[in-house]
Amino acid sequence: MNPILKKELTLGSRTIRMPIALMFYNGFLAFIAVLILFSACSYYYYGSGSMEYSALIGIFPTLAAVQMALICLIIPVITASSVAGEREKQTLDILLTTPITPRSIIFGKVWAALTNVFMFIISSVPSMAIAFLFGGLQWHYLAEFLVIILGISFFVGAVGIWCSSMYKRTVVSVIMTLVIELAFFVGTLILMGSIILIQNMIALRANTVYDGLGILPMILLANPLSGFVDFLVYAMNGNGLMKSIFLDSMSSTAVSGIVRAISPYWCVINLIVTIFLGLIFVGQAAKMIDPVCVHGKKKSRGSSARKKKSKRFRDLSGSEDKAV
Amino acid sequence: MMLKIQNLYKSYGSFQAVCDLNLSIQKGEIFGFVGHNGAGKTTTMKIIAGLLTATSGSISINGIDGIRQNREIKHMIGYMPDFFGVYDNLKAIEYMEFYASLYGITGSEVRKTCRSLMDLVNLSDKETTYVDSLSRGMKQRLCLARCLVHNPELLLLDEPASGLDPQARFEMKEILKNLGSMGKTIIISSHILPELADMCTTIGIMKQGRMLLHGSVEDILTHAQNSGTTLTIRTMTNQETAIRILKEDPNVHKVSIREEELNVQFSGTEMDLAQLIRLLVVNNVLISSFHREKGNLEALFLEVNGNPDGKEQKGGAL
Repeated sequence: MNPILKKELTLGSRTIRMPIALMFYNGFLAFIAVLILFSACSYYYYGSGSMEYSALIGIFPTLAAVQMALICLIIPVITASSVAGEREKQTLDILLTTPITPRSIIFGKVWAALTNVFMFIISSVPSMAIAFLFGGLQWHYLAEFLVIILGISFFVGAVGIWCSSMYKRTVVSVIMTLVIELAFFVGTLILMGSIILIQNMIALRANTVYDGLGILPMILLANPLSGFVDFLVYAMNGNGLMKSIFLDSMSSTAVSGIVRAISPYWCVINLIVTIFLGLIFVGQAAKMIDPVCVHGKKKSRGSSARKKKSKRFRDLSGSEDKAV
Repeated sequence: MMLKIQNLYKSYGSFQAVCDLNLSIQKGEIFGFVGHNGAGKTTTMKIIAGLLTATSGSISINGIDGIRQNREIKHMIGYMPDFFGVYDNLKAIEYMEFYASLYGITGSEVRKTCRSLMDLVNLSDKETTYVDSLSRGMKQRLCLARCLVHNPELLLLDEPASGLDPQARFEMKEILKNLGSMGKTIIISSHILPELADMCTTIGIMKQGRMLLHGSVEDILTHAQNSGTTLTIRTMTNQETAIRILKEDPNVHKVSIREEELNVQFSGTEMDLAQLIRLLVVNNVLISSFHREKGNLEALFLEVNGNPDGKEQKGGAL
């Protein structure tokens, strides 16, 4: 077991913060679930007099989306102080003098954050399971949801650790993690939309016909939420969102062949890309805390030819310090 | 040779933190790094520990290139910074075990090793105490035990006694002496030279990143004693004559007057001193009291550091 992970878990288990956070987290999820149940019952009492069971299936995507939002907000707070905290406690220097590699330190921190997230997710399973009581959903969706949310948590955790390594102040680290999250979650959509808009304008000015999206939707692979939304739509309709848009609705001329080919497996490919992006952030964070490898560049040492000033120092012991 | 530093430079922009440092430390030696704050002691230690990269120069630890084979030397070094660096929510024994695990020490050996080290630093009764409830001196000793957990050959201790009360300071000194007798090579930094003189075998005085003085404690003590004897002479009559005689003596460097007392900086031999006193008496200078204070390390340290350019001091190389 990674010693950093073990230490983080030991330290984490000795604070009251985690149980309180779990209580509020599950309380909020339960509140959302009750609200949905209540609205379905209201329909029974004040509407047609019949229960709208299909509305109850909505508990699953709603709770899943709420969980995703909460996790994306909680992780930056958990990870922001992980490296910055070691710096503040002045323990990072000591860690770096031991044989443990900076990468192991960072992975230990990421796993510790993921373990916390896992506790949140596992503790929320009873709330999530409410949706499955009414039928219409298969149980394997719950397992798939866990895998996807863990994948995205790894990405967000890696971003958080990277920011924690980059910025000394915890508050700055939290804000920057949220900014980077937004850049991936919303920025990719804005980027794709902007490119489409510009291409349309160019086509309009040239009096030509816009020749379709091409491979532009591939940008969305860098958006961890695209796979998540694709999964939710798949869980509800039996057909993934990307497949519906790019394969079923669009013609082969409107979108590139590769996009059409991967659209049925969008969720899986997106998850792989998300984890890969997370690994990049982890690698960069490790380089950032490595004293002999600053910002990815090995510092050249001993190579620079320095003009040596001939100076004689007092030497009481021998030849070592005499003539330089 | 345990440690060999050659032409070490470290600069931050135009600021030279370490400048052309050359140093050799033998196995089993206890070396004291002395210098004011900002002299370059901590920077040098951090470079040796692999926490900073040198701008140029080389470091060899036990024959291994300390800069290029940074990972290999980590098992050889125990580094104790000038701050505690402890996790408050861990118990003392857990703190030790955590660091043992970082060095790959696992199994039943861990607890045994950690207990024996805590016993060495007189903390055996504090095993289950949370680190945050330990006193400053205890934390410092725990940190020392921590950096011994992998049985390193070279110990780098950056101001190990800073901020400790006299009792804790004494205890720390005793532990370090004990470690020295165990054959560990130790590098200790401090800005209090006499404190180091008690336990170190060699001393180096640094200023503005340069090694000004380097040698065995005995050599430095002899040098200090030879270079800076202060005479305090109380005269009853003919003070002006006394001042004239003293100023004419080639072994007298400085004469100052405070009420009836003359403070004289003298660097001659015993015979020179006897001749000087005789000369004063022959010239009808009545001496009511005479006090002689030999130069000490503190005075030498101040003298060496007082030179603003870090140039060679009066007295020359020994």
